[in-house]
Amino acid sequence: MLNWHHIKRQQATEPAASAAQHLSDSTGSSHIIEVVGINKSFGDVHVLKDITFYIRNNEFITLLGPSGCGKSTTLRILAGFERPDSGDVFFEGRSLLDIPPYQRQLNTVFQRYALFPHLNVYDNIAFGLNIRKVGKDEIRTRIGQALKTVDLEGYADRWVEQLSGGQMQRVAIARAIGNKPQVLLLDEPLGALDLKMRKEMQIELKDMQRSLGITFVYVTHDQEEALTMSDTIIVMKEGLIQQIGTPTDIYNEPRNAFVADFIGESNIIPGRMTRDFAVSFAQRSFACIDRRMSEDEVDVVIRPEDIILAEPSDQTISGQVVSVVFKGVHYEMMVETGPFTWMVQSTDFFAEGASVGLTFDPEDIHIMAKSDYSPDRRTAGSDPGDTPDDQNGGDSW
Amino acid sequence: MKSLRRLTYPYLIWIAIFTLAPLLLVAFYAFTAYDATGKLFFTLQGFNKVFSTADTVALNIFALKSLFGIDWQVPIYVNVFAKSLEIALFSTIICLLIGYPAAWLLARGERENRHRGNGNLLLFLFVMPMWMNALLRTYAWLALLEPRGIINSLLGLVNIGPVQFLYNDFGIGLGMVYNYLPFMVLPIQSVLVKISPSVIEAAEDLGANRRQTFLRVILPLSMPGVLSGINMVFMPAMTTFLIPDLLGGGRYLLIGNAIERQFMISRDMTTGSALSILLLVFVLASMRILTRYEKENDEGGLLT
Repeated sequence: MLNWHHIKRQQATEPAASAAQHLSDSTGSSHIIEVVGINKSFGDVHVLKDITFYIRNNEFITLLGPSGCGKSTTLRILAGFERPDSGDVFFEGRSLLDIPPYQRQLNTVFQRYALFPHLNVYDNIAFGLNIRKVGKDEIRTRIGQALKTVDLEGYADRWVEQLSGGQMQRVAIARAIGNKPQVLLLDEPLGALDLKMRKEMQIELKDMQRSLGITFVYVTHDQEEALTMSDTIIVMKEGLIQQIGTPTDIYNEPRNAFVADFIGESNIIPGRMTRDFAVSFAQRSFACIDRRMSEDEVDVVIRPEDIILAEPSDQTISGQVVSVVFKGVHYEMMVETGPFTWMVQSTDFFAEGASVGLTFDPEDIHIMAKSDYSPDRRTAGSDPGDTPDDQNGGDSW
Repeated sequence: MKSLRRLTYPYLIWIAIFTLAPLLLVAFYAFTAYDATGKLFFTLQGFNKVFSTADTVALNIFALKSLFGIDWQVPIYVNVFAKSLEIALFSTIICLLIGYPAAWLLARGERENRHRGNGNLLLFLFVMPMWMNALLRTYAWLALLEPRGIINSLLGLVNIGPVQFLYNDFGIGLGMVYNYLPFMVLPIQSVLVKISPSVIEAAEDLGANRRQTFLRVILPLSMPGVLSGINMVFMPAMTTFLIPDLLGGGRYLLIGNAIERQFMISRDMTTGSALSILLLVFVLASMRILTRYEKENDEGGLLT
C-alpha cells in the first residue's frame, strides 16, 4: 500500500470547502463539463446516486473508487455510451444527453485499448480523421504528431497484434488525441500494464495532459495513480461521491472513514469531541487543530507515518509491538494498545514484544464526522476496503 | 506427441477409403470406357459429349437474356452448368442478405445471454430444423407450395392464384435458401460474437455514425465469416440434386441432376464422371478465388 511521505501537511482547510467548490452550481465558463444530479440503475442496482460535480477546463480530474462504485458508468455517461435515468450533463453549457457519442467532442481511451484489429497503427489513428473528412496531408501531419506525443514514431505500419500491451495503450491514446478532443476520457487505461510500465505511463500521461492543454477525465481504482497525476480527485463509493478535492486535501483531510482508509493507510479511532481544538480517544485527551463538529462522536484519523514512537511515559499511549515488517525506507510496526492496534511507520526500529509509547503532533490528528463507513458502524455489507482487482468490476459495463 | 498422432490414423484411413479412392475412381472412369468387346480403353468421349455442339440450346440465363440481350446457342451441358451457377449464386446472395441480419440478431442475443448466463433460445430455434432430415424438410415445402397446397389455399381465400411456386427457379431457389441458410448464418454469427463491443464503441467515440461503424468496422471484421458462409452455401447449392429433383418436379435439370441421370438412368459412367470432374474443378476454383480475398485471417468461421 501507499506511503505518502512527500505530501506535506498543509494547514487544515475545512474539508467540505474544497468539495463545495466543485459542487457549486456556478456556471463560470471555465467549467467545461457539469454533471448535475445524475442517477443510473442497472436492473435493481442503483449504481449512481445523485452524482453532481463539475470539471474545470484543462484540469486532470480523476474518478477514484473501488470496484462497482460507479466511476466507469459516470465516464460512460460522459462519453455517451450510457444514458442517465435522471439528471443532466452539460458540455460548455449545452446539455449532452441528446447528442450521440459520435457527435461529442470527447474521446475515450478504453480499458482494453479497443484498437481496430483489421487496421494498422496508422489507419487506427486515421480512423476518426477519415470520418471527419480531414485532408490527407493534414491526417499525415496529425498522425505524425500523435505518434510523437506517445513516443511511437516509426510504428505507423505495424499491425495491432504485433504490439505489446504498452504500445497498444500508446496507440489507443494517440488515436484519441489525434482527433484533437477538448476532453479526453480515460477508463483505467493503465490497468492491464505491469507495474513498471504503469509508473512510466503515469508520468507521461501527466506531461501529455500539460503539453496538450486539454482536460483529462481519468478513471482508476488505484489511489496512488490518482494522487500522482490528478489536479482534482473525486472519490466514489457505492454510487455516491464521498469527497472531491485536490490530492493533498483528500489525503490530509479525508471527509470520512472510507476515504481515509481507501487513500493510503490510516488508523481510524472512535473519539469524542466536546469543544474546539481538543479530542479524546484512547482514554486520553489530545490537542488538535479542528473545531468541534455538530456531534460529539467523531472518527479520528492518524496516518501511520505521523505517529511518533517514544519510550513509554505519562505523555504517551503505551503499547506493545506485535509485529515488525521492514519496508525498505521504514519499518511497519503493529502496536497493540488495549482495544486498538495501531499501524506505525517509522525509521526507528523497535523489536517485536518491545514496549513503546505513541504520541502525535496536534496537526497530525484529523477529525472526521461519523459516517456509515466508521469502523464501529461498519456492517458486513459495506466493507470500505480497497479492492485492487477492478478489472471485471460490475461497473465496467 | 507421437502416441497422440496415432489417434489420427483412423481418420486418415477413412479419408483414404471414402474420399481419395472414390475420387480416383471417378477420375479413372472419366477418361475410360468399355468397347464392344468389354475392354477398357482411354477416351475423352465424356468431355467431348459435355462440350458437344451437336446438341445446342438457347442459353437460359434470365439476367443475361433480359439485361444484356444475350441469346447464345450453347451445348446442353454448358447451359445446365450455367443454370446451376445462376441459381447457386442467386441463392447464395439471398442467403447472405437474409443471413447477415439474422446472424447479427443471434450474435446480439448470444452476447446478452452470455451476460445473464442462460442459453440462447433464438439460436436453438434457429438450429433445430437442421436436426430434421433434409429430404423431409424439402417434402414439407411441397405440401406448402403445391397448386392446391396450404399457401395457395390461403391465397385463394383472397382471390389470388393459384400461383405456380413449384417446378421453376423460384421453387428451387426457395428450397436452397431454406436448406442452406443456417450454413450462412452460423459462421457469420460466430465471427460477430467475437467482435468486442468496445471496438464498436471506439468507432462511435471517434465520430462514426451507425452506418459508418458498420461499413468500416463491423463488416470488415466479419468478412472471414461472410466468406466461409458464402463457401458453405455456394458449394452445396451448386452440386445439389435433391432440391431440384423434389421442387423441380424431376424435369428441372441442374448439374447435380445431370450427373445423377448419367449414372442412374443413362448408365453412362464416362460422361457422368467427366461432369463430376468438371464440377469439382469449378467448385475448387471458385473456393480458391474466395479464399484469396480472405488473406490470412485466422478469425474465420467454420470453414476457411
